[in-house]
Amino acid sequence: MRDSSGRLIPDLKRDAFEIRDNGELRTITIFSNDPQPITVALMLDMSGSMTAGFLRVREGTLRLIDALSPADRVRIGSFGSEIALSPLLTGDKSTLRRVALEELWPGGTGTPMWSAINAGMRSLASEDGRRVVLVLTDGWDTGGLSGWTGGAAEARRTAVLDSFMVYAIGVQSLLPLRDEIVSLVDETGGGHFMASSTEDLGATFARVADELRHQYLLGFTPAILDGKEHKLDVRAGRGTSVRARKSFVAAK
Amino acid sequence: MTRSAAWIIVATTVATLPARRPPLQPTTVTEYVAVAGLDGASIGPLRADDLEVLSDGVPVASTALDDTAAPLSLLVLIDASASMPPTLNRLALAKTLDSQLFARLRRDDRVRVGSIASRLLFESHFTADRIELRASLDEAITGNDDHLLKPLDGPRPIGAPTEGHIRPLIEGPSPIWDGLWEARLLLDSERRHRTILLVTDGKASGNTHGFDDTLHALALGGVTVSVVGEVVEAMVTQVGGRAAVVQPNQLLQQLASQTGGLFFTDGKLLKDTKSVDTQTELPVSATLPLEQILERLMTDFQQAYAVSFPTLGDGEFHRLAVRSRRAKVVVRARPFYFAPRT
Repeated sequence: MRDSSGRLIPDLKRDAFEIRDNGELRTITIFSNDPQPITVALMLDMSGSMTAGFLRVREGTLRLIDALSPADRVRIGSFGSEIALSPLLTGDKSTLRRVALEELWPGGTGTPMWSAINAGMRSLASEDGRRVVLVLTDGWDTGGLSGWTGGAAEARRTAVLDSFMVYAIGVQSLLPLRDEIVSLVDETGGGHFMASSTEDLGATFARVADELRHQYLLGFTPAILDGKEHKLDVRAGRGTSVRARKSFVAAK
Repeated sequence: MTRSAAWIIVATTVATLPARRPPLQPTTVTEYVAVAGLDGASIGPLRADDLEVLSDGVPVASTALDDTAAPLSLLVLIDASASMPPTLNRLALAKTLDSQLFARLRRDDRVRVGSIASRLLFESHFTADRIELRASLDEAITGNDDHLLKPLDGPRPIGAPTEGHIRPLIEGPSPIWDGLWEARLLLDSERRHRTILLVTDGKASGNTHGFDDTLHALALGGVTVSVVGEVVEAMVTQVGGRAAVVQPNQLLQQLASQTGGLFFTDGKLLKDTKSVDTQTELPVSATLPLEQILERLMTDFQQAYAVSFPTLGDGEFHRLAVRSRRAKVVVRARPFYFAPRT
C-alpha cells in the first residue's frame, strides 16, 4: 500500500479495503497490519554481463542481511553457468554473510532466469506462510539449463497456484525489465524496481524488505469453491496504490 | 558462635569452590609426514633420530617412527560441475588420473572415488581394483551415477525438479566443502595415511558447511588434502572504477597448506606464503604438465611416514614442525596437530 507520492501507508484499517472475487464484493473476514516476517529466496544473476556490478550486488546482499529482522529467513541463490541455491534457509546473519562471501562467483556463461525463479519457488515449496522470490538481474533469459526445468509459463502457473510473490530488481541494463517478468511480478502482487549503475543496491534491497514487512494480510471466503482461477481485485481509498495478487485458485 | 552456625558456614564455602577437573594425562599422537629427497625421490628407510619434532616450538623428547612408508587410503574427489573451465578435457583428465595414480598403487594402498556435482556421489568402498576405479572415475568426471557411484542419503538438490530420477546435475551447485566434509567421514575408519586429492575450480556453492568448519573438521581428523586446481583467477573492473579480485584459489591454497597437502594450479605448485617453517618449504616448480603433477602427488602420498610422539591430552590444537636431520631431505607435515583429551 502506497500513497500518491509512493510512501508506504502502514496504518489503514479493515474498512479501508474492498476485495472483489470475479467482480463480486466479498466480506473481509481476516485482517492484520502487523509487521510480517519475510521468507525469501534471493536469486542473484551472476552471468557474464553482471560481472562489472559484482561488488555492488554482493555489498547490497550484505546490507539486506544486516537489515533482516529476527523472524526473517532468506535463502541465497545465484544463476549463471549453474543454478546454485544454498540449502540453508535461515535468519542467522553470520551464516548468510558466509554464504554471500564464499559462494557468489561472477562470470557465468548464461542467464537461466526463468529456471532460477522456478528453482527458487521449488526451494520454498514446503514453507508455510508468505513466500517470496526476489530476483536481481540485468537482463533477459537466455534459456534453461539441462535438468533445471521451468520457463515463464510454469513460473506463472506455480506462483498463482501456490501463492508465491515475485519481486524483481533490474540493474545496469540499458533496457528495462522484460514484459514477462513485470507481468509475473504484477500478477503475484510483488514489486519491480530499476536500479541505475550507480544506485545503492543495499537501499533498494532494504526498501523491498521494508515493503514486504509492512504488507496487509486480508482474508475472505471466495464466492464459490470451484477449483478454478478467479480474478482478484483489491482496492483501498482514493490516492492510494495497491499491489496485490491479480488472481487466486478457489480450491474445492 | 554456636556449633551449628560454624557447620553452616563451612558447608557454604565448600559448595562455592569450582569442581576440580582430573589432571591431564599424557597421550601419544601419530602424524603422517611426507619425506623426500630434494628432487622428490624416495629416500629409503628412515630412523627416528633422522627427524626432529617440535610441538609449540619445543623439541619433543622422544619419537617413534615407522621406518617404511605408510599404506595409503586415498579419496579422489572430482568437481564435475559446469563451472569447471570449458577447456578442461575431462576424458584426458580421467586417463591421466588412471595412469599416474591408479597404475602406481602399491599392494596395501586403497582408493575411493567421489564426485561433486549437484549431488555428492561416492563409490561404495575403498578398493585397489584398477578396473573398478577407472570405471568409477569415468562416472565421477561426468557427474553420472549410472553404475558404481551412489548418492549419499539426503534430499535432492535444493530447488531441483521433483519428478523422476534426479541425475546429478552438472549445472547445479558445487558443494565442495560438503564434499570434503563427507570424504573426511568416509576416511574416518581408515587407520592409515588418509589423504584426499581434490580436483576442482574452487567455485564452491550450495554448501551446508562453510570453509572454516570444514577445515577444522579435516584438521581434527588428521586428513591431508592436496588440490589440483583448474582455477581461473581474475581481476575485474567494476562500475565506478573499483576492482573485484576473484580468487577461488585462495581458500584452496589455505586448505592444502593447513592440512599438510600440496596445491597445484595452472601446472604450478603454490606455496603458502604464511608457512611457519622455512626448512619445510618445497621448491616452487616450473609449470608442469598434468602427468608430472599427478606423478609428483602420488610419490608424495606414498612417501608418508608415521611419526608418533608424546604430548598432553588436553583436547587442543598445537603447532607442529618436523625437521630433517639428514642433508638434502625435505619434510612436510601439517602445521598443527590435535591432542585428544584423555
